[in-house]
Amino acid sequence: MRLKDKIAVITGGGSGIGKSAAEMFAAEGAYVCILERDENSGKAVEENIRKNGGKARFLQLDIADRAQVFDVFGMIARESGRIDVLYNNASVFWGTKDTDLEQLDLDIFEQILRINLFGTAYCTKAALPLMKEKGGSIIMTASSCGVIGVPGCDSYTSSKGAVISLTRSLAVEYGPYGIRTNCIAPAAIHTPMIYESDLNKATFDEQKFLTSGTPLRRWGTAEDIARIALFLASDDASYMNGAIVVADGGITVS
Amino acid sequence: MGNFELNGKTAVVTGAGQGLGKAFARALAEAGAEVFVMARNIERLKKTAEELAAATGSRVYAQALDITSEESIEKACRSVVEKSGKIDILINNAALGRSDAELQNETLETWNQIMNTNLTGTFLMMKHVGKVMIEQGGGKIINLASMTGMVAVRNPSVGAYDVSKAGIACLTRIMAGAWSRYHITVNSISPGYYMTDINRAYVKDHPEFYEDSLKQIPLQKWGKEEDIGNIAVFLASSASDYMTGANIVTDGGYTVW
Repeated sequence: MRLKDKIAVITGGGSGIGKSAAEMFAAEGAYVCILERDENSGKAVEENIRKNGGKARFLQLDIADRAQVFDVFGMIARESGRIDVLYNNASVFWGTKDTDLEQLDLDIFEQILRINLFGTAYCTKAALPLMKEKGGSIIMTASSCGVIGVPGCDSYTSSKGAVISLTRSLAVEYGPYGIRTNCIAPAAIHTPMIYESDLNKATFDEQKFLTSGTPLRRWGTAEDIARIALFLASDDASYMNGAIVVADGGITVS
Repeated sequence: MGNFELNGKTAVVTGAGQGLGKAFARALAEAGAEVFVMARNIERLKKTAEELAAATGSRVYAQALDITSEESIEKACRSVVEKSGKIDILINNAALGRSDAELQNETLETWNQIMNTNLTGTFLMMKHVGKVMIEQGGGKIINLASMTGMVAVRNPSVGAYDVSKAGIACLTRIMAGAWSRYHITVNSISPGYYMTDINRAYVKDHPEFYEDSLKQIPLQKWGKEEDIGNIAVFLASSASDYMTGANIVTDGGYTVW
């Protein structure tokens, strides 16, 4: 039990990597607060965890809604008194609307930044006072798009690069409180989110992408990333702070 | 739960007689792997193997190894394959430490010795264990780089060690790309300051160095030797299956700013 009696908050916990992490963290002994915009999926994950003997609670949240974020974290503060693990997992990739800067609708740019960057910052700001006393682990979610230049999704890349920068400054600022802030930079993970992106494009050649674009020649799974998050959440990573953990099947090395 | 289990795996750890290498070997054995601990000093190594086997209940074998000798490396690899038939995990940890000299006073002999051991030794281990892994259809290689290969640390005696570690990180990335087609993942760990026996002795003699280092480390402490092993277990386990070419920095935040 790596997270016995830890209070873990996971944003976007209703599907994909977030769902997998919520179930895994609960199985490792954590009380999991599933923050999710979609009520049905959030409730389903909560039920599934409870059915398996774990402790979880679903709280509906759109992380881009500042007031709602502070309400929800206020509720967690009243009920649990602290947070040990904050996994900032929620983000969007709007492959059909996001594009290169010249063609990009700036309203789309602002919406994506508001979710991916602002939402992450809001949740972290709301969580920090609940973590400072005992310390804890904050896990951010960037992307290989935040590490290398990826064309055609400039809102997404901007938001993910900014999340990496925020990871680093938080690591310096809150390390002295025993709060470790690290970031996972995944790519090519087969979750519902990729259907909003490349797979929907008529020009996308999956076979070519996997054989020549991805050194390990397969899609990553939600579990692949959730287990890395578990590692970072636990004491296994007790001296890691400010690290960017790239998990992309080797895409960024080649 | 089995998230980070290594049951049934065969692992090789170089430089395993003491320090971080021993911590890696212990953690792998605790996670269920059969471990071949390797180093030059066979007497100390035998004690380490006995100690770890007794503590963990896993099979731990001592194997003499000089990583500056290709012949010694080939012999060690053969010995593992004869006993276990495979090598699933390689931890390239053996290395010489930093020289005390500043670069302008460093001898060519010391420079070459450090590069030969640290960088060339890692290459040779990867070459020969790599052959075994390619043959068997995959494996996991974990190389020890260092934060001192990433930034100029405050200690002025800079030179071959740091360059050798940067070279190891580079070799890691390159081979991650090249060997992915053989299902071999290659990742590195870049530790910051850990309180090993050697470092404990150094800090005792240089308390001002220790105090100064804490100002640069947001977590305001040095890493504990017994806490680094789990990083190797993570990288050796299926939990890191989608990672290759990654450099896991564990330095309390030293290099972040």
